[in-house]
Amino acid sequence: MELDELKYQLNKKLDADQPKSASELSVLLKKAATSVVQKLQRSLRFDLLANILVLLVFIWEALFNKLWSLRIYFATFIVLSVIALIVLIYLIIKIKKLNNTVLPVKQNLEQTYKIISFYKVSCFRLTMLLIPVCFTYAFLLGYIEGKNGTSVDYSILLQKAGSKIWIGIALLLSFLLLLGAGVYYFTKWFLNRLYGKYLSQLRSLIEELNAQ
Amino acid sequence: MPTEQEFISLLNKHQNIIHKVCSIYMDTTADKEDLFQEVTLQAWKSFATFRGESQFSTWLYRVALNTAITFFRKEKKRPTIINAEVFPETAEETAEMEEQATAMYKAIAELSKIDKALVMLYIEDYSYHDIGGMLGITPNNVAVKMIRIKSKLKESTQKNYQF
Repeated sequence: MELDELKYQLNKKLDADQPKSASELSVLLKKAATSVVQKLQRSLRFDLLANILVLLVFIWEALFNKLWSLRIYFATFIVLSVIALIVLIYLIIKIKKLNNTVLPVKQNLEQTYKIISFYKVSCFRLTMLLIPVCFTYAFLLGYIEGKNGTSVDYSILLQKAGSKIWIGIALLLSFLLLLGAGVYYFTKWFLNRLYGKYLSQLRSLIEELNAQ
Repeated sequence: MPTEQEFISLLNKHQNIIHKVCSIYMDTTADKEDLFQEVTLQAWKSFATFRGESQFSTWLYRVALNTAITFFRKEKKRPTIINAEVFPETAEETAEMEEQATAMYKAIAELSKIDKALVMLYIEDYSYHDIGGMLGITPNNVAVKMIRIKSKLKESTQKNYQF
């Protein structure tokens, strides 16, 4: 029994579903899409909104905070937020374009994979980059401000701690390491849970199309 | 600017394409309905880019296949059920042909998403060149894949169907 012999029968059987009326089709156009690309688009829009709100808070803090160290701290993060904002807008435009264009299957899979993978990798790298940057930057700015006498002077604290200083440093380092590891594993788990399985399915489809 | 009415009228005429894609990719009525809605929405969103360079049916096939292939449902542990509604009894069909078609349909249901797309377009009589264009691969690659799929289907139906 060959596929060619059953072409007609199969075609007829696949065509057996009840047709929908024009009004039923019209109702379908009003519903919300559920594809992963649509979900990603929604999550990007949410990220964009959250980013704008955070940016406004940073601007406020950079302009009106009493401590100059915090003003510099927040001003630096304004730059980072603006970069994140540009990346988010770029991704939203790319996804919108992809959604409205009908590409050949392979190209469509590759584009979708590229966008989601870029988003996943960017999110992860940015989060990882921010961990040491935040710690170091906050510590440095606090130290300089303390030296200038407008905040807590770390050198006085160190003198008061005396021989117990190493315990303090060890505790602080352990806390930073634990926090860093926690953020690392949580981000990895969260992004993999959201997009990991979908990305691996897309990758295997692309590989299948490429294979002879 | 395309109107909704224009789109609905074209879709109404060619909706069998979406039904076929849903039947080949989904096994339950609820899943078919979900995919039908997704394809319809996707087609409507992309309709502005349809310039009539290809036939509407070819364009709709591309939208439907793109949507079906990237439409991932949460894995449910359930056996593949061949919907009986898909196989209505007709006077012309002999019981044997019916059985053969059922066996072939079962074999198609076991294929990968990409192979299903190839079979779908093949039974619709699209040329290897057109199939390649829709999937984004070369006609040669389509030919090679079709030989492999046909032999896989033959083997699989021989197992399922008692001669």
